[in-house]
Amino acid sequence: MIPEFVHAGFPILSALIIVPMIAAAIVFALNEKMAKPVSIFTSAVVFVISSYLLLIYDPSGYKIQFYEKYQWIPQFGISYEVGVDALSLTMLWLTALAFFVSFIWSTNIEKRIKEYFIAFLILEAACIGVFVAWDLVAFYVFWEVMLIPMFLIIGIWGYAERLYAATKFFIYTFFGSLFLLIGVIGMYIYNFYTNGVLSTSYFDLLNVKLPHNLELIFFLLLALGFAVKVPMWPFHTWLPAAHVQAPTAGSVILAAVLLKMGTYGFVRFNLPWFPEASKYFMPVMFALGVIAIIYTAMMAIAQTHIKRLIAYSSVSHMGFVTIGTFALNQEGVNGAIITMISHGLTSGALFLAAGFIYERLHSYEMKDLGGMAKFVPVFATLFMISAMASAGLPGLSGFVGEFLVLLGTFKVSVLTATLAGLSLIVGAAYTLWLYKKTMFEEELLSEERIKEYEHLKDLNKAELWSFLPFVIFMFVIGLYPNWWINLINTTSQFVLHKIVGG
Amino acid sequence: MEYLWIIPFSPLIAFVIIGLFGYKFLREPLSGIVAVIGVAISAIASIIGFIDVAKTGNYYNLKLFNWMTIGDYNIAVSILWDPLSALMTCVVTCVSTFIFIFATGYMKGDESYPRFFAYLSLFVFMMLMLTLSDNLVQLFFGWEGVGLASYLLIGFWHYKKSAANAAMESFVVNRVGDWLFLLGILLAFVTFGTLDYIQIFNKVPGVSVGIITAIALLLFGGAVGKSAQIPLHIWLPNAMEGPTPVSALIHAATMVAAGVYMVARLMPVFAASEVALNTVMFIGTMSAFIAATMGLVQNDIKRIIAYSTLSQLGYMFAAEGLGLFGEGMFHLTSHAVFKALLFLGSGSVLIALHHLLDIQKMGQIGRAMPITMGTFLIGSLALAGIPPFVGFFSKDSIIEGAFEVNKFVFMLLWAGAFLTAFYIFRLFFLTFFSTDRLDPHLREHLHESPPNMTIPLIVLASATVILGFFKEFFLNFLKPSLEPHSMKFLSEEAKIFVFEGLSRSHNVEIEANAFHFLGHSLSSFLGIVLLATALAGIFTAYVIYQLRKVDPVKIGEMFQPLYKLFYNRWYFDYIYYAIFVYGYYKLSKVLWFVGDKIVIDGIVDGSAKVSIFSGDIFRKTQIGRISGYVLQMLIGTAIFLALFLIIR
Amino acid sequence: MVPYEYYLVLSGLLMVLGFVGVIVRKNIIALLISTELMLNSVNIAFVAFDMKLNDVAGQVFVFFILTIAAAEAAIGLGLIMAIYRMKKDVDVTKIAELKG
Repeated sequence: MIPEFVHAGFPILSALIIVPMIAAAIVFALNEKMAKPVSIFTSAVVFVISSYLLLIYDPSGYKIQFYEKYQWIPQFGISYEVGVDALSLTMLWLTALAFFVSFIWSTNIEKRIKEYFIAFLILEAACIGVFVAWDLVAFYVFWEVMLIPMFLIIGIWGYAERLYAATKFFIYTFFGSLFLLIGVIGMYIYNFYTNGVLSTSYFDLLNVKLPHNLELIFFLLLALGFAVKVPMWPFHTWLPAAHVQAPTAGSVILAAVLLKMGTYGFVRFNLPWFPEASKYFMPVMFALGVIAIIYTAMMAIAQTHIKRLIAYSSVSHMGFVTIGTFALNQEGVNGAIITMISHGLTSGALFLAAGFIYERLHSYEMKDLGGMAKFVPVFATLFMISAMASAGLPGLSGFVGEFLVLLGTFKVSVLTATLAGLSLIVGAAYTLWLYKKTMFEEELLSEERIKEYEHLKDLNKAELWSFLPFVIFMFVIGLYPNWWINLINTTSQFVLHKIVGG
Repeated sequence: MEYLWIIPFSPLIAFVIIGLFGYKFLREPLSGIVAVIGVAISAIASIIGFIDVAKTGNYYNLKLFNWMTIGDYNIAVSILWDPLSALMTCVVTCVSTFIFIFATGYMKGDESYPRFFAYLSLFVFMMLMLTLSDNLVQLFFGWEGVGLASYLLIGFWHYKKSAANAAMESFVVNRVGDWLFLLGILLAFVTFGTLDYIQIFNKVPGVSVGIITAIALLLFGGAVGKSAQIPLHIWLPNAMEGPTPVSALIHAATMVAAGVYMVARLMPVFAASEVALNTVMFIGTMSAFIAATMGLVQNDIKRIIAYSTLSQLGYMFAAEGLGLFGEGMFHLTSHAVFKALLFLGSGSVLIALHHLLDIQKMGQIGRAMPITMGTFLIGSLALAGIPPFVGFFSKDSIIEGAFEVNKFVFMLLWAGAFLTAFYIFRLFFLTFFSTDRLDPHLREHLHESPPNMTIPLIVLASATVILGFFKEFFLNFLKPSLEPHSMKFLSEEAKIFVFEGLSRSHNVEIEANAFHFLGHSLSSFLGIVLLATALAGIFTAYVIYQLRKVDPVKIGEMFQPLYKLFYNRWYFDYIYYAIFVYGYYKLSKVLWFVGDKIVIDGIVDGSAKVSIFSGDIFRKTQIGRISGYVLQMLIGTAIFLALFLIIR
Repeated sequence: MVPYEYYLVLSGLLMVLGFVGVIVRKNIIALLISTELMLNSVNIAFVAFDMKLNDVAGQVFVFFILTIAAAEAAIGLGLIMAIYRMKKDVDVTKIAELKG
């Protein structure tokens, strides 16, 4: 199935990629003081534009909108091809939101301020590129480019063991990407041999008819590439390390945007390209997803470092996305996409909360924390909302995705849904544990600590405004999911069209 | 009936107002007043709606807005206003109103006064979403929402470690039930293709019994969690860490009754499955009896009442399991009133004694607090089942019903009735009379509570006296929701199907009219036995704790194993904590060290280490001297030449 | 007439000698001499085959090699002089400046 392409009158998606790059150049030329305002302004512009695109996107029928295509290396059939469907668009929007928030948050950078913002701006451009690219070479270039600024962000502005974490992050994800590259090149060559066409365009490769065994192999190659990024159990250990060491804004981006690329890849490539293999590997994916959900939830509660706890909770939530995706039905895929958005919001907010706590008390270890709620009531409220959204309370964003995912999974495998549903319990356990250990139990504090606490400042303006967008959208999605589901319905139908027909 | 939307949203608006402006502008007492107004408005609206339904017997189904579309089914925020939901809504809003008023006095001077009323309003909103729902998803929304409110309110004094722990425990244990409940919803959706009650009811006859049983049991799992039935009861006694109005409102009158309400709401589903009804009946009966034994030997005034709540909820479930849904709902109503009264009474005592909880350290405070004592006595008599108080009419009918249906259930419920009368009067005598064991400092400041606390007590006490005589009205009122042949929203086929499902209660004849029931009780053998049991319980407590004829410590020693079993709450807490809290935590720690750190990271970091290590070895060959390289070259050349010679 | 194999044996021996010299000696001058030795062993081999095949190309190669060897010796000795002036030493193990 080749969808309709709605060409953009103005190359707006390219503009979204280029604007942060230009801003990076401007920041490079200006002095340190201007770095933050320019970055915030740029990301605000990107966010406004992407919200606007979200609003004017036409969800009736599957169309690639705001589409552009230019020849790049015609000898090899490589072109520059960008456009969005609802999946790309929501991810693009989430990226823009997360970067906007991160820039507002980044007030206390102590060293290399210009470089910090340049790294983030380039990262933003690359992330947007990943989500809007339809040409595999462009996709892969953006996919890899994104690693470098993230590597620098963790490696330069991180905490004590940052080099270990940055290296692990880089090498591990790079290792995964290589399999992805092999898979893509394999598809490209196979396409050339069978159809005589050299093309790296997504839709050309979509039409390749693969023999069964080859399909399984390519599925595995791509899946391995994405699984590292998701991260799926047992490829997840780079994530806690990276999160623990990354600066707060870096963690937000890592959780809200980078993890989504893995599941984005599953939904975008594995399902439509390899429908038979997806069915074939469904039990494996279910098993890995369920293990991720329960096992990492247990990991989470075993932690004393709050950022590591949140990092493990991310893995657990991404397990939900995995099983939703591989339920291979409309509810599951819709739920997976909604969970992706929701997880971006909630884990972003939770990492902000961890950053807030660190900035006030200079520790991430639970034994140094506790009893803050009374002294910082506004923060406590927003933190509670984020925690509850993460735990899947109805009315907030987490529940919508979880419900749809469980419904989709339940139709396919009752056992998987039952086990995945356990996250209701274990998820609540670690989330509340985190909240209790940081916010409650003031009576355990010593006298001096309480005196220290009296000087604690509640959220300042920058912190408040970085929290609010996340929290507001948790409510927006939680209270009116219908709008979002209408938006992504046709896309998930397209994703599944080879599997369920139609 | 469009005005019904006011009922849930008025407390929500109060919540938002207090939440945003509570600390800055309203503070004390304005935030309390806003909350009271919010809930009072919804109480008035619900009473108006109640009267309308009582007059006409109609039901109204309003769809407010479309939350989510799945396939062809719209999950909508909606209101189903029929006698059952009208009754439950009225109970919630009316009891809430009085408890809110009481709370304005109880929470006086607390530094988090606005936060308290914000949470309470949020709770009422969620509870009303639960009661008014016409579909399972909205029910689940309210279900989890009240869980959140309960969590927040149990942990209201979160500076205390015990409160923070109890709050977390309650949420997590509730989540166990919610897990089952959600699976039940999913199974129901997959089976029926819809989640609207009315559509489900009409589709029930066409579905196999096995699936219906599974759905009913899964949903009942949620009720077990929320209504703190055995085996998920352990959170409720610990939930008494919350402020007393919270215990009264959430952990006695309304939220914990949500499970009972849900089972009644989904009566046709439960009626369709013999197994499900039996499970409800036995879980309820066991809870009624076991919780009563636990209550016998506790010393914490609020915990005793909490165990009594567990036990009374067990009676309600038993009633529903017996097929006596109307009686179960009537007991819910009556329990809401008298249990709220008991909790508020104990709250009044706590304020006077500066939050002293141990009844062994109280005594002879009745004279200083006559209103509290009098109303508490009324509540206790109602709980013990003495006519003419409402508890007698509601509880005794359940036990009599059990006599007709299942003798085993009857025996346990009957024994429970004796224990109930005993423990509540043990509490009553030890607190208000008996010997003076009170700290002299406390005695100096002993005083009756202010009017905004005593007036709710008096109102609730009056309701306890009067309400019983409306039994016939209530049962008739509920018929359009619980009596298959009067249920207007059922198809003919479904009516017959449900009626047959309830066959176990068909030969149960209980006098609906209160006066007839009273006369029947005083004349029939069974009625006299039951009354005598209650009186015996009271008398025993009187002999032991007031007259001190028998030393309770000696009795305890005589039945040492039993005493220990009861005192340690049948070891449920210990076992659960050992397995699900410490066990789980330890296992997680072990898994983290072994699974993540050693195995997975061992492989990941190991592969990195292997490459570093092997690199280190091969690096040694690069010595940087030409002679070395020449030698290597020579060896290489020799090897290749040799190979050339051999292979040729 | 001496069979050409004898020349080849001589050439091989000289080559091995040169190799061993390069491998074991540390003095740069000795290394240079060993290199020259190897070059000359090749020369002998060329001449021997030239004789065997009755072709003059081998002798032409020898002349080229001799020229290169001369140039090499000149540059090599110059370098050695320069190094000696800097380091006062011609031991190769002591002048390993690029070794990490």
